[in-house]
Order: sequence, then structure tokens, then C-alpha cells
Amino acid sequence: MDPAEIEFIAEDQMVEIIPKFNHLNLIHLISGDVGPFRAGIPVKVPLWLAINLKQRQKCRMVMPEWMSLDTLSQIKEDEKGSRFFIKMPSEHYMEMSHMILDVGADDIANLDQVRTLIKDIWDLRISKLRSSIDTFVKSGGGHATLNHLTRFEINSIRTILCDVLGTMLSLKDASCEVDVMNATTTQSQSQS
Amino acid sequence: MIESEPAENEDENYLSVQKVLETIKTAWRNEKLSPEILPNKMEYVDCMLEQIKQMEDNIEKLRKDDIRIEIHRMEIERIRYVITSYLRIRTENAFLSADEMKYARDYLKSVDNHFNKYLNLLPPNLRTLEDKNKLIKPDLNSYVFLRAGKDVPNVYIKDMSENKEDEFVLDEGSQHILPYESIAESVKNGDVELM
Repeated sequence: MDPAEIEFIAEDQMVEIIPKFNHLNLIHLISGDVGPFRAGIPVKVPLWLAINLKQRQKCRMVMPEWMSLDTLSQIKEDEKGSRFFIKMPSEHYMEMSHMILDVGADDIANLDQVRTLIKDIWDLRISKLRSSIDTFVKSGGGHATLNHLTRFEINSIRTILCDVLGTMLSLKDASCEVDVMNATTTQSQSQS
Repeated sequence: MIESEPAENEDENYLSVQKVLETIKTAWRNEKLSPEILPNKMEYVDCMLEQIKQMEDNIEKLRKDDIRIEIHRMEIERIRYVITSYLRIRTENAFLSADEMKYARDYLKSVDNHFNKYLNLLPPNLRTLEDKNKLIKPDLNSYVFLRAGKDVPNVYIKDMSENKEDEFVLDEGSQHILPYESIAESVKNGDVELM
């Protein structure tokens, strides 16, 4: 999948905004109702709408709670301390934070620190992912459980890992066929 | 008008439109990641296109400076993107236009010529090549990532190192990487989603 498409999927996630306009009736979107919008009163909308309103200067973005320095630092520590991938507060933490930090920059305090913490968490998880893939491939493949890995993380290793496993499988099949052929040859020889 | 449209008795209907949209989005994501063509969801697509048409008619009736116009248009564009992309993946795999058909026929002819040229050099009993051996089949053994939407028992996976099959249960919400073939049915019936 194209990373842009995973961002597109992430844009359906709900986020909070503070509108700068009033629209007191609900807006009936196909994907569900949004609103009512009252200037200064926080309201939840899909991220794609938040980005659009923000770009038109019709709202301020509110960072999700998990993007606070405290929460991110805690996540980073937990990720460091755990052998497994920890459950992230959002399945789209990487894409969402990327878009929110990009579009909502002027609404966000500690922008650089938030960005650095997210990058640290990503790096920790990706390095954990690389070493578990190494173990998985060396064990001969077959099946692995990858709980709490996000779509974006999976996408970063999909092509290479699926290629490697596919090749391993076909080599294994080929060597089985050779075994079978050898066995038949020996058999027919012993019969003759 | 859009504002007054969903009266109380339409609430149920309204929910199901969301459900239709979710179904299409899931089908789109799965189709992109699946090595084979999945059962089509055309009735959902048709229903959604109808819904979009109604919405566009309603937008026409709004005042030009209404803030809702751009919001509805944007949502419609997003849904159109998903539907177009979904149909494109399926078309690439399944249907051919007249020109593509001609290309495919010519290609097959040239492959046949090529094979026949060399097959005739082989001993007579090896000269026939069945059509099924010429097909490039989707590799159903290719690995996929997935999440189980519910408990999925009886998943059999080949153990590559020992040439046997192992049985697994996929717990609801768990994520795995495994050969597509072992969960193909669960993808088709919606028990698991490809990631």
C-alpha cells in the first residue's frame, strides 16, 4: 500500500477541534453526523474535516490527549521496557501525529519535543520489529503473531518480508521435490 | 433539504448507510492486499453511488455560501476515491477492455508459437502442453498480515521446516502474518481483515 493511502485511512479518525464559526444544526455526513458547531466550544470531527476547516482558518486543532509530552514519555518508557509491542493509544499514531503537527503547528505547544518523542517511539518499535523479523525468518517462517503493530508499521516492512518468506517457501518446496525424486530414484534402483 | 432529511423513522436507514460505507472501505483495503480477487461487493457500491447522487442533488439546493457545501463535497470526493480505487483493482485483475483483450490474445498466440517451436524438439510424449500449465496463477501461498475480527478456530499452517501442518486458533483482535491460503475463507466471510 502507498503510505499516502494509509494516511487517507487515518483521516477517518475522530479528533477534537475548537470551531471559529457557528452552525447549530447537525451536519448529516454519509459517514455519520457531525456538529453542532459553536464558536469556542470543542467538538469531535473526522481528521479530514479538521484539516480542511483548519486550512480555511475556521477552527483551532486540539491535540489528542495521547500527544501530550507526559503520555508520550510514558509510552516511550513502556515501549523500551517491554519485549513485545505495546498497545498504542491510536492505531494511527504515526500518520495522525504527522498530519496534526503539520497542519496544526500554530496551535501546538512543545511542537519539537512532541515530534522528537514520536520519532523516538517509532524508532524503538521499528528496531524491535527488525529483530523479531530476524528471529522469525531464522526460525524458518510459517506463522508469527504481531499484536499491536500498526498498519503503517506493517506497511514499512511488508514488501521485503513477504518477498523473503515467499522465496523461503518456494526453496523449501523445491528441496522437498528433490527429496521425493531422490527417494523414487533410490527405490527404482533397488528394485532393478 | 439535508438538514431536515433524516426524520426519526429514517434513523435505522441512516445507520445502514454508514454500514454500507464501512463495508466498501473494508472490501477496498482487503482487495488491495489480497493475492486473489475477493467476492465482489457491487450491491454496496451501487447503493453508495445512489446515496452520493441524492446528496449531490441536496447540495444543489443549498445557498452558495453555505458552509456545508464544501464539507459534503469533500466527503463525496473521499468516498468516490475509495470506490474508484476498489473498482480499478478488480478491473485490473478480472476484466479487459477490447484493446486489452486483443493484446492478451496476441500475447497468448506468440507464447504458443514460442512454445511449439521448442516443444517439437522434444520426444513426442513430452510435446503437449496443457493450457492450465501456461497460466500464471495468483500465489495463494504468499504471506499476508491480518487482524482477526473474532475468534477464528481451525487455522492450518504448513510448518516449513518439518513438512507438516500445525493447527492454530486466532483470538479476536490478534494480529498475524501467515500464508494467505490458510485464512482465505475467513477473509472472504469477513472474520479477518488484511492489514
